[in-house]
Amino acid sequence: MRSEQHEVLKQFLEDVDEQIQYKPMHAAVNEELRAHVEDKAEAYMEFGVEEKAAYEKAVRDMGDASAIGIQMNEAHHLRTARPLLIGILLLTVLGIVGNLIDRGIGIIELLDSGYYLWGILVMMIVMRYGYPLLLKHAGKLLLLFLAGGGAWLVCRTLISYLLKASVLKAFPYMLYSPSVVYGIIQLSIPAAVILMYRRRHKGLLGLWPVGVFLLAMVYISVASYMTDYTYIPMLTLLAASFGAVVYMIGKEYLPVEKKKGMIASALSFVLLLALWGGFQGEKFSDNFKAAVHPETLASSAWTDAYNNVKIRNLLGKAELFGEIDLSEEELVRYGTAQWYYEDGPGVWKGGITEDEDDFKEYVAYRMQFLDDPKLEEILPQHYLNNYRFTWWILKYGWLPGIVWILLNLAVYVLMFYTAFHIKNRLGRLMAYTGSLALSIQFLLYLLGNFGIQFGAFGNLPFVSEGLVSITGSMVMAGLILSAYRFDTVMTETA
Amino acid sequence: MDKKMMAMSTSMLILKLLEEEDMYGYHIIRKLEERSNQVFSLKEGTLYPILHSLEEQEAVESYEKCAETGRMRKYYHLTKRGEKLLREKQKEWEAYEKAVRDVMKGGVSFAL
Repeated sequence: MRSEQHEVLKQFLEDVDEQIQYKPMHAAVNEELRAHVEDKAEAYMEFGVEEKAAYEKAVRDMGDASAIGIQMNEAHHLRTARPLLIGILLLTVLGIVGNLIDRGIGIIELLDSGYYLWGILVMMIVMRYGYPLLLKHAGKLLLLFLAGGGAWLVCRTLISYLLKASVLKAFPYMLYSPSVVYGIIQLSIPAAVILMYRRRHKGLLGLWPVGVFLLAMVYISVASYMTDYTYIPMLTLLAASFGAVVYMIGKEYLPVEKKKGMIASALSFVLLLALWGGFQGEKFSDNFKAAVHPETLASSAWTDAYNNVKIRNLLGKAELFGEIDLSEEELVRYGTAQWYYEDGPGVWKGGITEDEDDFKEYVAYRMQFLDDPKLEEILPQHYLNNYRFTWWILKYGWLPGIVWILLNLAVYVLMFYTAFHIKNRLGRLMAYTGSLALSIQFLLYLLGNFGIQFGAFGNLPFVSEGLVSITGSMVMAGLILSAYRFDTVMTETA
Repeated sequence: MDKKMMAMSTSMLILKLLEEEDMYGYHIIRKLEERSNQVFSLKEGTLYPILHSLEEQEAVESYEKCAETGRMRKYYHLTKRGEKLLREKQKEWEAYEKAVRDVMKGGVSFAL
């Protein structure tokens, strides 16, 4: 006879449940208490007590069901990580303000920033329902991400074919935004972590499905159109997955010897990075050079390497307080890139004679924007999206810029603080990895703002930039808040 | 055993047992009885609110593991905060125990 069929146990659990206000908690409490009663009843039966009587005695040994329920109710309630929530909302509002500065203040401009409000709505919904749903559907989600990434690749191949066959006249950027793969890679992190945790008892080798998933993502990144756009999500995915495994080894969730486990996971991480970089060949090393030694690749003012050189140079002249002090002549020289290619060490496209005309054309083109030269005109394109920190430093001075950076940093500290105050192991691991992922994005964005841009510019979570990246950051933040919210009322398998 | 004394010491004893190894509820109860020669034989259901409240205080954390029987067990693990709480409770208990012993010995003691 199954334990559920014992009326006395059923009644006991119902009496406990009656006192627990948060109904979704009932199942977890019931499971734990039922397991106890079953163990005890089995022990009685081993001593020859008949099954029905054994269950009655076991339930009697448990004590007063209502009293247990009342005390359980005190220990379990939904919580809100208010400081983190407020911090994220504050950053988002500053993101909207930044957009309004860029586009002007007005109703239409405000509506243009609607995706921030959408992002907030998504975060609140994910906070309310996200974590339980993620636990339930993590495996399916990973498959969905793989299918999404695969479909993305198939579409890419199809579009290339249609372009070659002249059926398509131009690349359909609007329909085929690189942001999609950005979102796919970014949001696969929490699902991958849950899969890792659930397979932890099988040891490091048991994590092979996650390894295969990461490998597939490496392939999708390399084979996709505009690989540069996948740099930051890929680095985030690989580093966050590595961080999760290291945490699991450090906390002894994985049954492996710490030292060996750390070495093995570090080797796997390096191998995946090497594969990712190796598959790209020269492109990867050029992007790396453009980030670390940009002057070696800054062959024209249209390159990211030149932007890195210029940003580093401008930051060196920034004031402690107030806007960078540049004369009108200096502004023009920066705006036309003459400061580097005529006055400085820059060599325009290798210095070939016919390219001198090319540089003159560039200067003439830029001059049309420099009648009344302003700081905004000499900064790289999309400076308000990609250089939010640099912009503050150059426009308002180092100190306000540092305050702005520290404000962002404080939110990430709060995020880790929230994650580490989650008692449930799986919830904590997921929230920690999510915090790690968002922090890595912040860090890479920050490096870009100091002239160390690697690959295409990423987004600054909650602050910049478009619909997909803001939604992605908000989903991740919503999941962290959700894991905290359900911490005391959910179990790992709920 | 007196209920008040029992309540005071139960969470300390649970933390002490968890210091040795991760355990699930039924295991804790049996260990408690075995170690105390059946002196600590509490109403078994009352263990769970204590465990859940210790979890709320971040003194313990829980995780699930499937037993050989297929039954899902919720294991409790002592955290760093739990270790600290155990030390505090041990000190409180020792002070209480000493006070009781001093009173029971009789005579007069002078604070110097």
